[in-house]
Amino acid sequence: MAPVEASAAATAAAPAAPEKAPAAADQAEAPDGGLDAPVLLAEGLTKRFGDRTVVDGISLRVGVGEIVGFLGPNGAGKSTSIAMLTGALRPDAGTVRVAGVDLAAEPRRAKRLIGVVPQEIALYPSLTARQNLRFFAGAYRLPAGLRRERIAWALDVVDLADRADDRVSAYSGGMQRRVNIAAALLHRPRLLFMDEPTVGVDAQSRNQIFEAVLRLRDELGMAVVYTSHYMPEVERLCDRFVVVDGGRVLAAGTHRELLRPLGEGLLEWAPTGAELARLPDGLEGLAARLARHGDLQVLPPSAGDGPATLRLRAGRMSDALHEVAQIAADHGIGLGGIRLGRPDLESLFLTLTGRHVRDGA
Amino acid sequence: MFTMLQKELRVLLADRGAMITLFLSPIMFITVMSLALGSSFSHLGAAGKISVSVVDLDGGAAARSLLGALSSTGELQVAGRTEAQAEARVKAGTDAFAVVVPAGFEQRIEQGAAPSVRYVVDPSAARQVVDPLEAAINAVVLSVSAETRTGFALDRLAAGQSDPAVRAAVAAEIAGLSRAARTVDATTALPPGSKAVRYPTVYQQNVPGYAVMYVFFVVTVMAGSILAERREGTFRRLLSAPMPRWQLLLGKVAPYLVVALAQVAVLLAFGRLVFGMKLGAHPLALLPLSAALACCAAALGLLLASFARTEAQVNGLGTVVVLVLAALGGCMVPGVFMPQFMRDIADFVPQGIALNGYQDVLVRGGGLGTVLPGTGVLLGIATVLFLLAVPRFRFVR
Repeated sequence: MAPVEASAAATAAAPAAPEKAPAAADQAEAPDGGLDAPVLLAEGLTKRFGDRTVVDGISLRVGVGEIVGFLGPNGAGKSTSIAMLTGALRPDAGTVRVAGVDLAAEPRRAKRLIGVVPQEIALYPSLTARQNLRFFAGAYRLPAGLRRERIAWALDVVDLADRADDRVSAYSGGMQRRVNIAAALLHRPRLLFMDEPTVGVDAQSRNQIFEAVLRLRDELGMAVVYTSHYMPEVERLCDRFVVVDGGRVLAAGTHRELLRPLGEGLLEWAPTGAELARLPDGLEGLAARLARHGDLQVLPPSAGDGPATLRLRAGRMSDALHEVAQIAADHGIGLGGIRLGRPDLESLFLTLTGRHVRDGA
Repeated sequence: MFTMLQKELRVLLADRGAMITLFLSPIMFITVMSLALGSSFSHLGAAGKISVSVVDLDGGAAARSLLGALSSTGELQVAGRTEAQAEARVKAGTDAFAVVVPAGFEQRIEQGAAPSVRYVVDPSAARQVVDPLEAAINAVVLSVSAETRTGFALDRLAAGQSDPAVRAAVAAEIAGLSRAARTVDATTALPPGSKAVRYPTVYQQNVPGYAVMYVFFVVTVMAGSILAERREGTFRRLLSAPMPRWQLLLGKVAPYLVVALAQVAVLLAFGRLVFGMKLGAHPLALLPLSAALACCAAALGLLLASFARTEAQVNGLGTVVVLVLAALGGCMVPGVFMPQFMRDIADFVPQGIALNGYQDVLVRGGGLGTVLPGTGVLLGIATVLFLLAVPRFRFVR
């Protein structure tokens, strides 16, 4: 891939500056952006379909060059929120400002600052990649000369320049996904929405997509709102996360901020009946000692007469492990029934929503 | 707008199924149906002569005179045949009617008795045809009988004359009897204000008929394309572009107006170049009519896309609507073959209004003034369909 013009990230948010980096000069212009001004500021977004409130007062703030993971199980209200944030759906309440431009008051101006990569392969399969890109560039009214230049650039970003004149229907799923992204980049938006951009792609294409996203962030200062069901993917890519369910924001913050309440680690212990018999106060005594080190849950046995499981979200994992070792040494109990884990977004999700990210609504 | 037009036409050109439906299929229908129905149309407005066999069992001059008199009317196809041949033709349905002149026909006339003939009639022949025909032939028989009887009388008169000059004069009179005019110099006139009826050729029926019918297949192609854009998310993507919704909608509809006009142009050109179909005295009058027809088809397509939720619904419902309206509008069966109530229905169906307008120009020499009322009605229907469709139309479901 060819490098994009350098040092765009620092200047992309300052369109009024007299000396812009080349990439920033090309980028969709925002009227009142500034380094500290958010690229996206949504407040109190609400949408009802009949009696059902699908999105209930969601607020969102995305800064320049920030990649924000927008997470939630199916039916959480993500797609409806994104439709409102991109101007495809009118909210019943709330406001959206893109780089200071009110989406409701000046939709055409605001939309020039937004790029959308839909979850679907939103392309015309019977046309070539170049013909598709030419059409979408036309939809953004790019002048003919700039259109050619941008198409070449976008194809380069997604590493498809050599297959540009093949029909999209002849592409692999991963290549189609990459053209899908290229179509959203032609007007060099300040803010890119990517809705499940890696669904159904192989590892190589997924990596190429990650590289493209990071390159856009690093070289153009493009902000990205990214939704995905693949938690490792989001953890690797995103700077911040917003977790939604039931149409509301349940949590928002960096990886560290979100996982802090979950403690340093997860410890699960399922002692056998013989081991419990050696403890003076049995399961209750063991639970009381572990509970000093964090939040403890006693999970019922999975089989009818099997052992119960103690699950501890440990505040300080070293203290918890020291306690476990002490108990085992004092009462001659083995450590075979112990499992250790680190908190991640998946466990955060489970904690917040009671569901896994990939669960249905 | 040009970008959307260009894209839509590119996508359509790449869609072989749609191209076959919109262009190849009507060309094949026109060709096959025109070849199949050519002979039916050649008789439209010029009913074939009724074939009548005359069986002469008498062999006399009066019978020959009768055969000559029937032939000379020009309205019947008369041929002398044996009795067996004549009966076989009636039985086979080849002739509806045979006249048998019995033996002693002339003798009865000479004796002053009423002439006698026998008719052999196809039992399935309509009485409305047979009865007037029998009456007309009876009149001819009476005329021949009177003429023969006068001849005999004059003959007898001549035989009684001794003066050769008188006898020659009577003989000349008798000879003149056979040359007497047996036809009436009649002319046909229409009541004031009536228009002469002209019938289309098979091509003037089938080319505009199938053109009108297939223009409406734009309905399924267009609605299917709209549903595909919804399904594939391209509408969602375009909604995030800085383009007003009305422009997006117009950009989706306008290409199909062009396609419909192209269909009419291609099919009329095909009819003209391949079959030599006449385009009438004012072919440019077809332009506003075709544009209004295209608006109707596109509006119906938009309405279908507004209500249908799946592409299967579009194909099923669209095909039924298009075919039923085409049949009601007289695109498949010419109006002259349809009962009056069906012709009345056709006057309210867009296809019927359009087809009537096309035939006004192609067949009856109509011009712009002739097609303007129909064009106005079609535009009115298109407006109503648009008004029904637009409030229900959704880019994203």
